[in-house]
Amino acid sequence: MTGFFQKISFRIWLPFALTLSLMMLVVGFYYPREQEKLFRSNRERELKELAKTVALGVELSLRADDFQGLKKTIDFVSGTSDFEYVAILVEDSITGKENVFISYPERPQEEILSINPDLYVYQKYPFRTADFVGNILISASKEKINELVFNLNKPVYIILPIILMVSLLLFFILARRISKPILQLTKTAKELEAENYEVVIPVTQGTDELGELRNAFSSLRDSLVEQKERNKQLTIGLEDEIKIRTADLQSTQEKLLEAQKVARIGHYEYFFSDGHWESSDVLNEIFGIDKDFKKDLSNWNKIVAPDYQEEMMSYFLDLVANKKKFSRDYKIQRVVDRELRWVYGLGEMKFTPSGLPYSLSGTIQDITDRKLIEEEIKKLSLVARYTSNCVIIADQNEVIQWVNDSLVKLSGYAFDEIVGRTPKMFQFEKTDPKTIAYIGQTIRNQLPVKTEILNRGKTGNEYWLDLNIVPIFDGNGVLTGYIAVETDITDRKIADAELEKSQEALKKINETLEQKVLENTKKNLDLSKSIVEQEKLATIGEISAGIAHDLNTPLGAIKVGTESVHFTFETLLSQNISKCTDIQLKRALEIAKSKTVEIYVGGLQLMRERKESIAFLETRYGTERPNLPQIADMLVKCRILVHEVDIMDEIYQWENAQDVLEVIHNVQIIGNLLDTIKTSVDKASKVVKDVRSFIKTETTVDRTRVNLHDNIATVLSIFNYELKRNINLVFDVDENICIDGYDIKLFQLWSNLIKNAIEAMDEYPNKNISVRSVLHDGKVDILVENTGPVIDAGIIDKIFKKFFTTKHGKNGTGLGLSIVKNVVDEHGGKISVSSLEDLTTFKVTFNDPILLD
Amino acid sequence: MRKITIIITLLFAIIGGESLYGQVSMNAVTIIGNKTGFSSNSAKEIKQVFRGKYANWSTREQVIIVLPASKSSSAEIVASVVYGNTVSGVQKYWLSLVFQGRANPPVFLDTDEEIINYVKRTSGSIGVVSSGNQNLPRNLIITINN
Repeated sequence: MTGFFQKISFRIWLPFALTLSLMMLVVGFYYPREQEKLFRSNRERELKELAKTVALGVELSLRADDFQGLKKTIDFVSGTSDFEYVAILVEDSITGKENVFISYPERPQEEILSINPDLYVYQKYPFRTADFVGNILISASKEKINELVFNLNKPVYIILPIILMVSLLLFFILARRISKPILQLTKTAKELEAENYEVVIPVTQGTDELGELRNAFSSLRDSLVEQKERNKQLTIGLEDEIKIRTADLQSTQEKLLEAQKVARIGHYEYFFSDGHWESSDVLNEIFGIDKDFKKDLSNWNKIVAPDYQEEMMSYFLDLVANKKKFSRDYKIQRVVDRELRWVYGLGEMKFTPSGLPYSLSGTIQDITDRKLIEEEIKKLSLVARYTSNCVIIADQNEVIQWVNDSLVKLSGYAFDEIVGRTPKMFQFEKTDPKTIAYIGQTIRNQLPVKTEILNRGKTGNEYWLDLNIVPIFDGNGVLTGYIAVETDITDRKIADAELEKSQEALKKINETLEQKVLENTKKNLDLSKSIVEQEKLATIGEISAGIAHDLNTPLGAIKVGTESVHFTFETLLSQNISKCTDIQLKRALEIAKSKTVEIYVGGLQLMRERKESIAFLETRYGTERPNLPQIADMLVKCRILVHEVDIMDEIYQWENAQDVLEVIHNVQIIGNLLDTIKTSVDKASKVVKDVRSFIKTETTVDRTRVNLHDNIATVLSIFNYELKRNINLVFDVDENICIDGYDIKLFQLWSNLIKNAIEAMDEYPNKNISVRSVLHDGKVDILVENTGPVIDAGIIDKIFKKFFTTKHGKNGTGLGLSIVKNVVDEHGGKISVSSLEDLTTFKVTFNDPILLD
Repeated sequence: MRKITIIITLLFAIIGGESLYGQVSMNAVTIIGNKTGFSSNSAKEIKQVFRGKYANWSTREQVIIVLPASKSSSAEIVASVVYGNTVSGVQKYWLSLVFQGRANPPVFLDTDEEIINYVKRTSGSIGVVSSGNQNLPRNLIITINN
């Protein structure tokens, strides 16, 4: 449906309407403006003329007494429509100022003298008589002038729009009249286009263009009807032809598709307008894509193998820019299984009539197999040509067809001198006949040959070759030739001979060397053992003073105890026993045995108990006995206290109670002295036992369960003298922790650590050693800590090395901590050391400790 | 000195201009008229007519004032007697009246004869001539009643 604005009537009318409107606009604007300018100009000029006329009238009336003329002049002036007033202005002869002499119509003087130019236009004109000089001032109202201007242009403002409207209407009617037949013909043309040939085309007799057009349409319709009939006949014939051709085409297409499948050639067409491409099923299969795959340029580039993507996109853009053909091998990576394949793309661009690229269509063939073969051939060719090995290609008659540069170089013959001859040309009298025979026999059997052979070059140079000959067969298994790959092994052959000689000599040297190593090893072992023993003995020597002290103490006690027993016993025999009866002695021994007596009771306690005893005895038995204080004293010494009334009654009844008590007390002293002697003997025995344990030399003892507390305690007892003398020792090792190990070796471990700690603090006033255990995570740490000097960070990693010592010139052998490390390793443990300002800690960690219940 | 003289003259004119020139009696001039319509013929009424106070007579006829031209010999005396003013003053007086349309413009004639002839042939006209003119028609003379 054609819109109003697309109609031809509108299009005819529009230019007229625009032109007319523009013209009217110009006239309506320009004309009134020019009129106004002209009118105002005339009005000013008219006012001037009027002023001039009035001035003349005034002059005449005064000079010629003609007041009639003046009246006429005034009447003439007042007849002007926009006239406001006219005034005679005279100059004051004294002040020189202008005053209003008279005005008509009468106005205030101030209004006339200060005339407002926004409201009035005015003109002045001078007059002069014998005794009267002044100006005529005449003014007109601007408002009235504007009104006159408007009235002047009013017709324009009213008439122009009317003319415009009427003209537009007339033009529109005229346009419709002109367009009507055209519209009719347009409608007719559409009917004809819709193959409605029955449409009526009004025939006109007119001779104008529209009439001719109608007649032409009528003729056209007749021609179309005739043409349609002819087309119908033609179409029937063409349809039959198309059917035949279609069948042929379909058959050809099927064959083509089959051929494409076999040849793995797919078809594609890329459209530049929207960047998509279409492809045949074969191509889809080559690319490994399905029907849902988005076929655009970007995705094609993604199908291209990553190494080729940038290159192929550049190639594509270049051919588009230069309108070239697509002809290129490239590698793709199939979408479905990411398999890499080679394709050959061929394509040609089509262009629009304006020369712009329309599409690129062509074929893509899967050439992977061919490409692989080519690549393989290329590689093989390169290998054959440039390998350092010699390569010979011969035909089935062993006639050489091709050799590589390496053979030319090695043999000294030129390429042309070799080709056409057989490999026998390189053999000579030194070539092993057996090898030659083996080669000949194997080749005749069409089998691969692998052997070593001595050949000779052109210049007489002899060279050894590692020879590999492979027979070549065609597709039918018929021998077509041989390929021989030969490696120059001359140097190796020479080296082998030299090596054989060297190996023989080496064998002899080795035999001697092994014997020496065994001997030295044994010596080293003995030496090591000796050194360890020496270290141990050195330790014993160092601690011997302490041992002597530990032995002296109990021995002294034994000596003193023995002497005291002797003295007491003599006293008993010589003094007390003789004064007692057998019953008293028996009872005295019973009481002495039943009492635990302290050898020495403190003075204050003794005094207090004696007072209590005296008071008790006096109260109970009276004060008659003169030796009552001595009896009380002995009771206290014998530890017969006031609550033991029965014993007291029994003893006190005897006259020689004091002697009985003396016997009891001496017996008690002897018992105590004997206990002390026994204890001292035990202590001495323990010292001796510990020393013996330490100096045991058995190294083949079995692993046993070792209580770490007892093991360490034994070592501490060895160092008892040094430790008790001036070192504050904290020994806090759990008594229930055992490990499987060698107790003798563990003695060495702890003794070295403790000995080092003692020696380290030798010059320090504040000496502390702590040995404690920490259980954690199925392990036990034994921490041996001392407050000695800091171990220098530079040597802390070396202290466990054999023969490393910081005690040069003293008594250091450099073996102590290495023994410690060996013992720890032997027990599957670890040892570490940390040394801070106030504390150096050796941490020995054992795995899998055994806890006693 | 000149300024003082002018001021004194103006003072007289203001206080009693008529009396300044009033020393000249109305008898010095003769008033003539043709079909005029005075009610009293008094000097005052006649002067009012000559000063343009009336535009028409009682008969509705237009009042036409005829005066000697300013260059005529009787102009000065007429100006003095009738207007109590100078010749120039009379001109300005009429200039202002005619300019504003408040009175009919007077007719100025050069001689008494012309004035007489004009009055004679113009109905409603009133003129003034020198006294003692022998050619005055009796019927034109307007007698002033004092």
